[in-house]
Amino acid sequence: MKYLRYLIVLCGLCMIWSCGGDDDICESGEGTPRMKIGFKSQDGKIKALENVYVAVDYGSGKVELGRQQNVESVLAPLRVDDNAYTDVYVRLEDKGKESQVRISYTTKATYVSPGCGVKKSYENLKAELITADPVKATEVAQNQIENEDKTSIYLLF
Amino acid sequence: MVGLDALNTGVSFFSDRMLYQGFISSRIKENVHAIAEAGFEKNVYQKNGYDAKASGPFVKLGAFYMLAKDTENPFNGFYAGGKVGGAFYNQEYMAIPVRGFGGSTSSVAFPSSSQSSFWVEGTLGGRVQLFDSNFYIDVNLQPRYLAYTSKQDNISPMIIPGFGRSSSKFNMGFAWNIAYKF
Repeated sequence: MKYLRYLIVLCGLCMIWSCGGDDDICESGEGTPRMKIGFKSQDGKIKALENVYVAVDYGSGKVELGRQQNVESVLAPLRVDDNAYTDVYVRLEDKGKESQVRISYTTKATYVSPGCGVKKSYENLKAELITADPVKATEVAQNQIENEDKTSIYLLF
Repeated sequence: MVGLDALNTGVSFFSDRMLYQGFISSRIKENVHAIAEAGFEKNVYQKNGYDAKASGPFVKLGAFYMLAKDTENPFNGFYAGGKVGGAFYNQEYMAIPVRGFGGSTSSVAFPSSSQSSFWVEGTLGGRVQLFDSNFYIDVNLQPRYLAYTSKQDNISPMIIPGFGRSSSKFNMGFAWNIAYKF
């Protein structure tokens, strides 16, 4: 019966073994990339903004992404549904004037992993300034979003 | 000896997972038994934004060694062994999630396709004769490791018939069989 002890221990180990796995977490960087928005002054120079407030409409109203201080760029997640555009709202003061920028694109779906599921990459990026001031103009730097390293669009102040 | 998994068959009536499996085993040496298992499983995976289904038959072949047995009846006792398994099945992923910001999700659907998977599994269990009849109860645990799976558009399968949940390569199965010894 000496085997029995090993058998019980082995059964216990197997049970612990079988617990892991199913609910994989999607690690950052693997999923759908966010859009990097850079800031420039009107003469084309990179500009750091003292305060910037970004909000994005994901289809059910504006979602505030919060205040960023002394930044040259911000990362904003775009919509992942089948909508052809995402509206981004930018203002420089909490209760100040707000610009609306419409980012339109086509998307491509690629399977990543069990945890992340499918990721979308954005192509044929276009930026349209719907409400000017404080943003004066937009500039597309990269017309696709594959990762979060490169600035996709610049907002000119 | 021929057995049918009574527990999983019973559970099939009350859950989305329908698993029917049975085995045939035969003593080939004093302590060594050969075993062949076959079954059919139909299962769904609806979790974390996924909506998938898979169904198909599977087979397993292997052998086990009686570690401890009854002196009066060599078929009573505890055993350990190994098997290789394979499944040939049909799967359909109606939704695979696209994870967006703040819980905003959408999904992508993929058409149904035929796939196959292969795995190795251990078997640890025991057999006990029911009174003086030819019937036995055979209970075993089956730790599994997924060795190979074909993939549709690179998608790791979430469920495999005969294997179970497969988002990780390790899985654990069990069976509670009623067997008849000829």
